[in-house]
Amino acid sequence: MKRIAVWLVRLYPSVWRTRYGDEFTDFLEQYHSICLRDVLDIVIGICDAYLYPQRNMVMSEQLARKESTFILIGLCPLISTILFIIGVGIVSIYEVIGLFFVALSIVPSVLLPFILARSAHQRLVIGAVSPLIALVVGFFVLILFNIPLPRGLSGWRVAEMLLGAIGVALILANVKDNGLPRPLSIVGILLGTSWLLHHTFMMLEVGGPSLIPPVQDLPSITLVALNALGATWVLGTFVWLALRKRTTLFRWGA
Amino acid sequence: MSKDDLGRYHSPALLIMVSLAEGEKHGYAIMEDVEVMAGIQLGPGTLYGAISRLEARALIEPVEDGSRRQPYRLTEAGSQFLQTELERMRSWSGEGLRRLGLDTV
Repeated sequence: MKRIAVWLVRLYPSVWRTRYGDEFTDFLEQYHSICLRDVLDIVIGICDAYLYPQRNMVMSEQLARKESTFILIGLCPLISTILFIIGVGIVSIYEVIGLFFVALSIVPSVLLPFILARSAHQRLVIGAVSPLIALVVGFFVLILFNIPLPRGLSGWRVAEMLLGAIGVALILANVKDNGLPRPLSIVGILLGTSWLLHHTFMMLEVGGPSLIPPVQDLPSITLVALNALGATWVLGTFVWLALRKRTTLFRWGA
Repeated sequence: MSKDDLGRYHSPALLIMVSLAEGEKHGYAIMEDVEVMAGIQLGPGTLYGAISRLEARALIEPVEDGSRRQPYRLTEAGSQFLQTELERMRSWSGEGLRRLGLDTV
């Protein structure tokens, strides 16, 4: 366990390692017995060092952004891929729960960049790249282990999910920093909103073309609620931004 | 300096500063002292996360001795900050004890 802990020091940002690397390694080598909790504590410390670089760490903003983008691009697809594979793996046994996990696999790629990223550019890159990596890796695993695709998950459907996720990432990037070009924002709104609406209606129509939710299980209700909430939030936010004139998107004369 | 500046590292940072109040120490010595003093074992990531924050805010400073085991000491600003925080804690802990009917003063 001590070896793992010492190796983990390499994952700290380079500027952190320059300042504390030697003494931290020495500290870990003195440590009497390193347990799993200590290793997890170091992993949290690594994330913290990327997300909240301290003022005494001489590092350009650009380099810091590059490093945190790198770690987020690793983290988001990893979580997405795990959820995707779990979903497809159990879909033949528990169909709704499986599809729920497949749909959920998009969430880290959309939510994590928004919560963790530090700029519109970073959110955009992570939001666009991480679902792509997750899907490619996920499908590679499916093909490798000869796992059948869930019903209704065709290549077009996957492409639509991917585009939707990128659209939501564009929207999120725009809402927080309002720094994206107008055409990109419009594409984002269209893609993201249609994705969220489509998933809402798809779930509502399970078992028939009815707008009444199929209240037979918790996962489908949760998914409907999440998608409906997402669509309402996206549209509501932009109406609010337009009314408050907080976005350049609607300033056509500007 | 408000407590919010240290975020979730506020408590570990205070423990480190209390440890350094009796003299300079390196990371491992701080961790052992905190464990004996408060019965709390600071994890490696937490300890160095707090140290980097305290150093960035000039509340502690490294003592140049050329060794890998870098000792730290409190700065003047650090002593003042620690005093303010401890007095604040004494104030609300006294109030808590009073409300529990345990305060003898």
